[in-house]
Amino acid sequence: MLGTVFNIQRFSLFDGPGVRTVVFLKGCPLRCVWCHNPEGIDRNPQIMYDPKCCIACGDCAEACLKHRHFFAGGLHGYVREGCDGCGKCAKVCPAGAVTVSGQLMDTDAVMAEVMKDGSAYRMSGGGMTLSGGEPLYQGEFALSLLKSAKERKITTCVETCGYAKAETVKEAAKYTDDFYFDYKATGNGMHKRLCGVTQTLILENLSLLCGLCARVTLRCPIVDGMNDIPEHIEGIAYTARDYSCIKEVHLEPYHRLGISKAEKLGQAAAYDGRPPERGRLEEYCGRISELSGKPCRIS
Amino acid sequence: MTDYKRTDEKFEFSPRMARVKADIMPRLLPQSAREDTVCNLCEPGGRNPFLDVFLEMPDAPHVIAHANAIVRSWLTTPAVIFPDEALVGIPRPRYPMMEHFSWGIVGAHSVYQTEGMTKEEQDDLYNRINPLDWTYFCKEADLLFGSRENCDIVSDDCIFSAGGYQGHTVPNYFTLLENGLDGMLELIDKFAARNNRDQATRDFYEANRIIIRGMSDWLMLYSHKAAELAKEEKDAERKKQNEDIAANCAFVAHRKPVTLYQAVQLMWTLAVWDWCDCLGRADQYLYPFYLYSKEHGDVISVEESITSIMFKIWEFGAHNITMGGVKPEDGTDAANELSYMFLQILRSIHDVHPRMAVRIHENTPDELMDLITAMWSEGMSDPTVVSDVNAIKGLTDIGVPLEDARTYCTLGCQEIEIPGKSNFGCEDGTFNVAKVFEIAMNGGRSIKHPDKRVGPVTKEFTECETFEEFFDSFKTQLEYYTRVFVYLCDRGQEMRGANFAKLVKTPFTDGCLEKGIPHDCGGPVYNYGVVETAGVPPTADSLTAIKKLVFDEKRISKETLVAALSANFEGYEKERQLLLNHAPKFGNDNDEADAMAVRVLDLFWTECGKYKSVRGDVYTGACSLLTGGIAYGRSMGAMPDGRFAGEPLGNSMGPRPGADRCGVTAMLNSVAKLPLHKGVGGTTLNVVLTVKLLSNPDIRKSIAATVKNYMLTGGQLAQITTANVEDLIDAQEHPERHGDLIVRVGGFSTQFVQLGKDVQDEIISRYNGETA
Repeated sequence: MLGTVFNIQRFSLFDGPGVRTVVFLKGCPLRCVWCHNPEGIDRNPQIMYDPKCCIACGDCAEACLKHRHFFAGGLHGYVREGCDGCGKCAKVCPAGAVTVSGQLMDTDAVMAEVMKDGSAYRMSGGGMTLSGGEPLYQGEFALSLLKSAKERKITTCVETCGYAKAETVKEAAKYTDDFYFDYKATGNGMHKRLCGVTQTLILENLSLLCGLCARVTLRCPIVDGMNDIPEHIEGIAYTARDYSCIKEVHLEPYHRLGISKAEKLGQAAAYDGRPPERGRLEEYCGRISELSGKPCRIS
Repeated sequence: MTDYKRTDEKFEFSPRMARVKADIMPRLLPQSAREDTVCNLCEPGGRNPFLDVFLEMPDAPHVIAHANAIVRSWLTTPAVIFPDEALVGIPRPRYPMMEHFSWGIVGAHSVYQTEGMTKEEQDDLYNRINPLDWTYFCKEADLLFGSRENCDIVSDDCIFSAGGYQGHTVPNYFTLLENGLDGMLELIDKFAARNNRDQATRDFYEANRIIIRGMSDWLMLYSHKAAELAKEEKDAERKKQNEDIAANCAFVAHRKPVTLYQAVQLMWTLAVWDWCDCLGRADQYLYPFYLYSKEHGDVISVEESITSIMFKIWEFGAHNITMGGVKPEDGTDAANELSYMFLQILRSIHDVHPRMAVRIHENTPDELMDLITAMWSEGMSDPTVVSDVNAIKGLTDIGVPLEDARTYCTLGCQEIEIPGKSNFGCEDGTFNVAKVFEIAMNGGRSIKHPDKRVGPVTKEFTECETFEEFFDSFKTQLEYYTRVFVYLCDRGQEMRGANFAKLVKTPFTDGCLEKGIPHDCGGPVYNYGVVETAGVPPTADSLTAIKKLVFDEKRISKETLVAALSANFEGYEKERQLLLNHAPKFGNDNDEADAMAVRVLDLFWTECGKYKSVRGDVYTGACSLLTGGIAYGRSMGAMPDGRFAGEPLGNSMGPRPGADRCGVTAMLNSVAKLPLHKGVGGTTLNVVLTVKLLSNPDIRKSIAATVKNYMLTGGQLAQITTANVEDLIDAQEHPERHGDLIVRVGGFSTQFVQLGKDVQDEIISRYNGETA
């Protein structure tokens, strides 16, 4: 089974219990304005170019069959239109200035990488976490990874925005110990405006997981000037209260790591704000736990 | 605090100990100055008691005069008892001559400043003090390399430093505490009767008696001093304290200790006489006394006894204490209440001393792991952790019986040895593998002396048709330099042996009395040699890069590479980027890169293991150098791993700074693939973790599991430094704000701001891409 993976991050300590390896799958149905993994949106491999690393050797221009890289006056130009992401330029670039985000890998290859930390998982109760993009967007591949992980007796987590086919969610629940389920906006209008899709399907999937007695942690990005409003904070609290499968709520303050990645993809970041104040988040945590009766913390 | 396993509470010092602590603080100065400061208190009027003895005993054999000189220098040092302290004894000053940590008596040249002697008399005296001196070593070296000139070239190239320098070892505190000092005399008599071979042997045993009697006299000196102070003291509590000290010192001056208070006073006596060297498994040998005092009561509480010994170690900087691990008899967990108590006291002292290591094995209790990670999370870089699996395997592989191997401890700069039974010669020499690689690249010549060839002739790099052909050249050079290196190490040991450098350790090291042979001449049960190794990761990465980019893919020609290296990559940035980014590097769990590191390290340590030291056992590997990696790096040209000339070679066993980019577990896996068990002498790995990461108890559990996993899957020694990367960077700019930021460097913990910029940079670059 083949899928497109854009990163495999080992020694991840904040994406589930114990020591974990996070596998990032490419492709996402949402278009959140504050996206912190912009290279995870497109399903296909993409060229990333970092001018800071370029030593202007010209090798990429020579390698590119479509002439997307060019040099003028010692400066490197790269035109994205017409580029099919074949990666020949990245292969020759000595300095790592041109790279490909997204690699076609089969299940065994991913699992081989994941299992390099097998003994650390056993010692710590850790395992594999699927993330993205939206990991369930490549549904079949995600399921095959989860099944393989379970065959290897390691714990599994899925970080999902919840926007996926019901069958995929249902099947994934069989092989997933913990879901980290995003809750980004309250109400279809707000959700559509901030994330590009409505919330209906997401909430249906959350109900579905509750029906299956899955273990769910609600993950809520808090973005200043976007969803940092009282109605949404209440929305988080009531959702946490009403859905029985939610064990805990994590507030995730916005961070700026996505901006430089967007630049390397030749995109302007749609949102360029500051992380919210700690004190305010703590206040939210208090209110959410109070209203929902469930633990809430800042992650 | 009643439960020493708790991490949410801290150990509180008793009011008396809190006063002692407050008293010690102002006496503590930066590490290097500590010894001098206290010793200045008792400068004996410019006299040199060491030399006095040799002058007074013109006809005595060297070993007898030497023993007397040691004793005299202790007994002429005034007894200093600080207010409120329960445990007494300070080190003696560094006289112009001292007996320890060298090839013989340090400062013997001061003989030539002695007035009223003819040159001939001075020569005689000098030869008596130093039967074998440095000129012996130099002559041997000249012979070895054919000429003085060749010898100078080798030393100028900084390929190695041979001949040994100090040799930390841990004396047998079990023997001391089980026998007491009078019991030691009986032991000496018993073996003297058995080995009544000749006058030299009789002199040897007599020298041992002189040392032991000296220790008794020194304790009585303190006993009298305390009694005097008690007499003058008006305050009833203090009077009682001094009377207790007087009684305690008088008791252990001859008899074997019964209570913990007695045991720690006797233990400290040997520790200071042993020049504050390493203390071994203190939680094990003090445990019976702890149990006794806990059950039957003691003059001071058990907490005060352990606090007192820790304070002494803190103030005078004894090197290393080891906790936990397995029991020798059955391999079960040896951690006890004392292990926790020692660690809690260290945690409450919160300084760079005392330095502690905890031995980790499969059944190390979770509470102990929690305490260790809690200490790290508070910004301490102690304790270091050591793997029982790896260390014990390494020791049994070279022939140590399992029961002895299980008693190992760490000492010095994280070396490993069997306490009370060995002289592992730490360190017999240091060796820079990267320099040999450089010489192999140049067909046997160094870049500093391109017209001269000292070692064997091997092919120029450009003449090599295949990678294996080049590797063979490297191997040939490595074999040659290993051979000359161990030869010179042996000569250094001969010098130490002839000079009886360590008479205090001798009676307390198993084997010496039994055989009638001193500590440095092969007397101990175990006499392995230790080769501190530098430069393996950059050498391995260079070889990998050459193999892949020059020989396999031919992306860089041999000629271009040679030109790029000799230009220090100036005008060759593209080649440098290729070398950096297109060849895998050690430290990323990449099999190709890691296999090369295994190959290089195994080659070198196996080569060392072909030679036996003159003390009697084979040379083994070790790697706990940081500053060595920096100093050796300065003498190096550019390397094919993309490293510029003069940059550090990397510290100890870890990847070259910045080369590991796949996270901590990948780095640990890479290092664990190395044959670290062959580094019996001890192989340190430095890991820097941020305080922020460790502040979360759940994350601490994961870190503990990661470390334990490393310990069980091939890792040997790890020292964790905790800090925020921002802290470190800020500390470079504003040292005044970060005086308390503790980092661990190679074998020692120190304030970050006291380090040189290059060492600081190297620590900062160890961040493994982790976000702070």
